[in-house]
Amino acid sequence: MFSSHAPLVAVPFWLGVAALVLTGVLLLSMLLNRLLHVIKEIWRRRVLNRWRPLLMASLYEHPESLPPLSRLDLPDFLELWNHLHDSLGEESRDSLNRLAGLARVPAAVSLMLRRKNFNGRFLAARTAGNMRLAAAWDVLRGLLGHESPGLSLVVAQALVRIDPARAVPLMMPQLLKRDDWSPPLVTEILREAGPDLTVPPLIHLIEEAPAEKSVRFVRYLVEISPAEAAPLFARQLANPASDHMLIACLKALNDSSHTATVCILCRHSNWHVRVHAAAALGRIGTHADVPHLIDMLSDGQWWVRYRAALALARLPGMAAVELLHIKDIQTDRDARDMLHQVMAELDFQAAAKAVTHG
Amino acid sequence: MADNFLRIDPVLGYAAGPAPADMLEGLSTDGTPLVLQHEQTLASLPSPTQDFDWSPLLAAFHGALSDAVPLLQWFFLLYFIVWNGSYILLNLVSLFDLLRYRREQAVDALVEEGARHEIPISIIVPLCKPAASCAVAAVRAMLHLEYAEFEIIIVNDGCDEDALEALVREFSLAPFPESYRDRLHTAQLKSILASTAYPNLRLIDKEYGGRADALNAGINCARYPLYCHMDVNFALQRDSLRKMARVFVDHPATVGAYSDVRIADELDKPPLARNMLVLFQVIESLRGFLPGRAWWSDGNAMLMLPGAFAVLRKESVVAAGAYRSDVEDEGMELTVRLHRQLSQASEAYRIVLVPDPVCRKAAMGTMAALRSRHERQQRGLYDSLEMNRKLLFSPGGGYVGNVAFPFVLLFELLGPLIEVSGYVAMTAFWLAGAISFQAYAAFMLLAIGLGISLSVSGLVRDEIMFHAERKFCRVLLLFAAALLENFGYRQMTSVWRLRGLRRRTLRNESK
Repeated sequence: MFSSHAPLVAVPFWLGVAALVLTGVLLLSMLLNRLLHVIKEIWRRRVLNRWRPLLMASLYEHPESLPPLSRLDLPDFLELWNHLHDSLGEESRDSLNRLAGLARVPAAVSLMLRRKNFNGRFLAARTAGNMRLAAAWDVLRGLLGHESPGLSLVVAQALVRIDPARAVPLMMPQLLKRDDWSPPLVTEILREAGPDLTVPPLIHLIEEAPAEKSVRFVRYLVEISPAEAAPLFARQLANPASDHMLIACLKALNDSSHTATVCILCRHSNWHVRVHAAAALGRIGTHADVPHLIDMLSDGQWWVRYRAALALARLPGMAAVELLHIKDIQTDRDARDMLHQVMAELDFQAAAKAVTHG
Repeated sequence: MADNFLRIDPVLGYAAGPAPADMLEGLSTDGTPLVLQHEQTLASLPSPTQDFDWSPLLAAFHGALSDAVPLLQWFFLLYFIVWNGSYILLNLVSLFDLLRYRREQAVDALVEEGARHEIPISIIVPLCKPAASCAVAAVRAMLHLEYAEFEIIIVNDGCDEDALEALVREFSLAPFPESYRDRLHTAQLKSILASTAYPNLRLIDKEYGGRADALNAGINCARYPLYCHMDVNFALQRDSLRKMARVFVDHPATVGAYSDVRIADELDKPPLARNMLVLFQVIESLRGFLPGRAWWSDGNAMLMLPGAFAVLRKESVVAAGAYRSDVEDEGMELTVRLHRQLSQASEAYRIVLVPDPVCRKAAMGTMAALRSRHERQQRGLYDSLEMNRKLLFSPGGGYVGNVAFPFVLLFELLGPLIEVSGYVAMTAFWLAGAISFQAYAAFMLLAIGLGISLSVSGLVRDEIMFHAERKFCRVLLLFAAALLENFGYRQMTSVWRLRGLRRRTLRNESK
C-alpha cells in the first residue's frame, strides 16, 4: 500500500519491513542453532556411550574387531580418543593407536586434513600427531604456514611428534616469522623435540635474529636447557646486543661465575638493567657482594632499592641481626625505609607460612 | 493633538471604549468628549496591519517549512538507517571474529604448563562505602582466583569504620612499614596494612579522594607489571585473570585487555517487574557492548568501554598520567588517552577485547539507579572525547583517530540528541499536519524495526557464542524483552543519556 507513495513513505516502510523480516530470520537461526546444538549433544553422548567402553577395554585386551566407525561418529570419537591419549600414560598409547588403526582412523584423518573444514583439520592434526602418522607428513607440512596460529601450532606439534629431526628445521623459520604463536605451547613443542635438536638452531636464531625477537628465543632456550644457555649468557653479558637481551640473560642467570660481571651491571645507566642485576646478585651472590647491594639501596629508582634490599636479605649467611645493623647505619632515609619494608615483608611471609602449615 | 495623542497612546493603546475621565481632564479644548477625539485620533492613524503585511512573511515561512520538512525527514531517516544498520552489520560481522577467537582458544587445552608463562597481576579494589560483609566476601572470593601470582591491594577511600574493622579482623591485617612510592599524587595516606595470613593481601587506608584517586594510590603500591581494578560487587570467574592476561603473553605490545561485565542475576527468578528490568539490562548489554567492541578491537581502535573489566599494563598507564579525578568515568577517559598518546608517539601498542564474559555484577534494581548510570556514562563519554579531542583526525591517529573517534562522536555522543530530536520532530510534524500519518507511521516502523533487529542480532550472536549457558525458556524471554524494550525503554535511555549530556555541557558553560 505504501509503494505508490513518495519515497519518504516507501523507503522507511520497506526498510522497516525488511528489519522485521531480518528479526524473524535471526529468531529462526537462533532456534535452529539451539536445535542443532541439542542434536549434536545427543549424538555426542551416543558416540561416547558406544566407544568409551571399547576404548577403555582396548587398554587391557586387544579386540579382534570393532563396530564400524561412521563419518558422523568420527569427530566425537576422535575427541574422546585424543582426550584419552593426552590424559593416560605412555603405556596406554600403543593400545589406543592399535585400536585407531583397526577403526581405520589413519585414512579418515588424511581425508580430514585435506578438507577445508577448520575444526576437522584441527582434530585430524592432533590425531596424526598422537598416532605418529608418518603418512600425513606431507599434508601437515603444507599446513605449517596456515594463517591460524592455533592450527599451525598443532600442526607443528604433530610434525615434531612424527619426526622431530625433520620437523625442527621446518619449524625454526616459522618461529622467526610468526609473532602470533603462543609462547607456552612453543616451549612445550620445543621441549618435546628435545634439547639436542632444538638448542643449536635456537642459539643460531638468537645470534642472527633482530634483537627484539632474540629475547623471546632466549626465554625458550632457558626453558628447554638452562645449562646449554650458559655460554650464550657469558657472551651476551660481555657484549650485549641490547638492553632487552641483557635483561633476559640476567633474569635467567643462575651461575655464580658471572658475579663479577653482574656487579658491574649494578651500575648500568638503564635502571631496568640495574633492577635485574640486583635480583641476579641475590641469586648468585655471596656475602662478599654486600657492599654492592648496600650501594644500590640508595638508588634513585624504587625498584632498584627494593630488589637490592630483597637480595641483601636473601644472601647466603645473612642473619636478621646483621640486616638490622645494616639498616641502622644507613644515612639515606630511602635506603633505611626500604630495608625496613623488606624485613617486615619477610616477617609477614613467615607468619603467613606458619598460619598455612599450622 | 499630537501631544495629547503621544501622552495617552502608551496607556490606552488601541483599546476601544471611553477613556477614564481623570486621564482626559484638562486636555479637551472645545468640550467635545475626549473619548471621541481619541477615537478620531486612532481612526486617523494607519493600523499596523495596514502598515506591515505579514502574509508574505508567513507564506515564506510556510514555504521554507514545507521545504525543510522533507529535508529533516530524510536527515532523520538516513541517520536512523546508518546508525542502526552499522551496528546490526557490526554485530553480524563480529560474530565471525568471535567464532575465530573461540576456535583459537582450543589450543589452550593443549598447554600443560601455561602457569609458568603467566605475568603477575595486582588486583586493586577501591572501597567506597561498601557493606562490611560485602567487602569481606568479595576479597575472600578474589583470594581463590586461579592464577600463578597475584596480589590484592584494597584501597579504603573513606568507607565506614565497620567495613575496615571487618576486613582487618577477617584477614589479620596489621600495620606494615611500606616504603611508599609516591609516583602518582594522591590524597593523604593514613596507613598501610598487610595480612599476616595471606602474603598477597595489603590494604591502603587513605583520606577520601574519589575513585580515581584510590586507583592511583593502588597503582603506587602495586608490585606487578599488570593490574586490574574491580569493585566489590564484581564477581570474577576463577580463571578470569588467566584469560585476560593471556593476550599480554601472546602479544607483548598489549597495554590493555577489556572484557564485558555481564549481569549476574540474569538467571535468577525475581518478580516479573524487576525481572523485566533485568532482562532489559541484559539485552542492552548484548546490544551495546560486544558488537562494536569486537570489530574495533580487531583494528586496535576500541574507544568506548563504559563499566568494562580491564587488565592494564601498569607502566603504560603511569606514563600516560594514570587516572584523572576530574572526569566522570576515569577508566574510559584513560583508554582514550592511552590511544591518543601512544598513537601520536607512533608506538606499537594494542588495546584489545577479550570476548569471554569473565566478570559479572548485579543488575540495577531501580529505574532511578539505571537513569543515574546512563547519565553518568554519557557524561563520562563526553569527558573522554572532549579531553582527547586532539585524537580526532590527528596525523598519527590512524584507524582510531580517523574512523573510530568520529564514529563514536557521531553515533554514541550525539546519538541520543539526534534520536530524541528525530522522535520529537516527526511527532510534531505529524501533529502539525506537515507530514501524513502514513509518513509518520513508516518512520516509526523503521526506527522500531531496526531497533528490534539490532537487539535480536545481539542476542543471536550471544546465543551462538555461548549457547550452553542459558535455558531455552530464558532465551525466549530475552527475545520478548528484545522486542518490548524498543517500545519505550530504549527511547527512555536515550532521554537519560541526553540529560547527562546536557548537564555536562551546562557545567562546562558555567565554568
